[in-house]
Amino acid sequence: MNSVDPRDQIIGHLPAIRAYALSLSQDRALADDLVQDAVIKAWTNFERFRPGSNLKAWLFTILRNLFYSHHRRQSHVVEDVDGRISARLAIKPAHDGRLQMNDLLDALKTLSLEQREALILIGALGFTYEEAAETCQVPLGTIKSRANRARSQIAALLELDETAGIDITDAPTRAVLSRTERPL
Amino acid sequence: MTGANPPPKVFEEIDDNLRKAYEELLNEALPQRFLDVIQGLKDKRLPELGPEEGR
Repeated sequence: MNSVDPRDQIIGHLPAIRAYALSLSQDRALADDLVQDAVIKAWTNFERFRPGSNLKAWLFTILRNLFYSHHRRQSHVVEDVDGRISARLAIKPAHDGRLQMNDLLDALKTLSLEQREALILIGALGFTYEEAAETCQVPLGTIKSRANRARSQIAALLELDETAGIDITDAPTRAVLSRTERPL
Repeated sequence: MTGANPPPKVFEEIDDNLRKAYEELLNEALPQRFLDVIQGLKDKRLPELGPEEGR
C-alpha cells in the first residue's frame, strides 16, 4: 500500500536551495551542512507547512533562518577570498566570457548580504518579488528596493550603461551576434 | 505603488547572466549525503529534530 508523501516534493527544490545556501555562505561545506539541516528540519516539522501554500518559499525560509542563526554565532563572514565559489560558478569557457562572468560574480560579493540574497533569489533563481519577500520575511517594497539597489551597484561597478549592456555570451550566441548588427 | 518605470535593460541583462551563471550549479547532481539523509528520514533511522536548531 503506497501513498504519496507530500514531503517527497522537498527533494525537487534541493538544487535551488543549495545554490541559495552557497550564495549566502560563500562556503561550499557550510552550504551543504545548512541544506542538510534544512532538509531534516523541514521533513520533521512538515506539519507546520500549510497545504496549498508556497512550499519553495517555506523551504527557502527554513534555510535562510538556519544561515542567519549560524551567521550571528560567527564573528565574521567567510568571504570567497580564494575564488572557490567564483570558479565553481564561472561556466563560460571562452576567455572574454569568463572574464566578464568573473567580473559579475566578483561584483556580487561586494553587495550587502541582504542585497545579494534578494538579487540571487529574483535574478538567478527566478523567484517572483512576492516569493522573495515571503522568503526574506520583508515587505514587497523592501525586496524590490534591495534587488534594484543590488543591480544598480553591479551596473556601476561594471560600468554598464544602457548602450553597452553586458556581452557575456557562449560560442554559439557569439556566432549569431557576429552576423547581426547591434543597434547603438 | 503605481506607474513604476520598467527596469533598465541592463538590469534585465544582469538577471539573465546571473541565471546563466547558476545554471550549471542547478544542474549539478545532489551530494549523496542529501539522498542518504532523506532515505534515513523515510526509514525513521534519523533522530527527528524539533524546532530547535540542529547544530
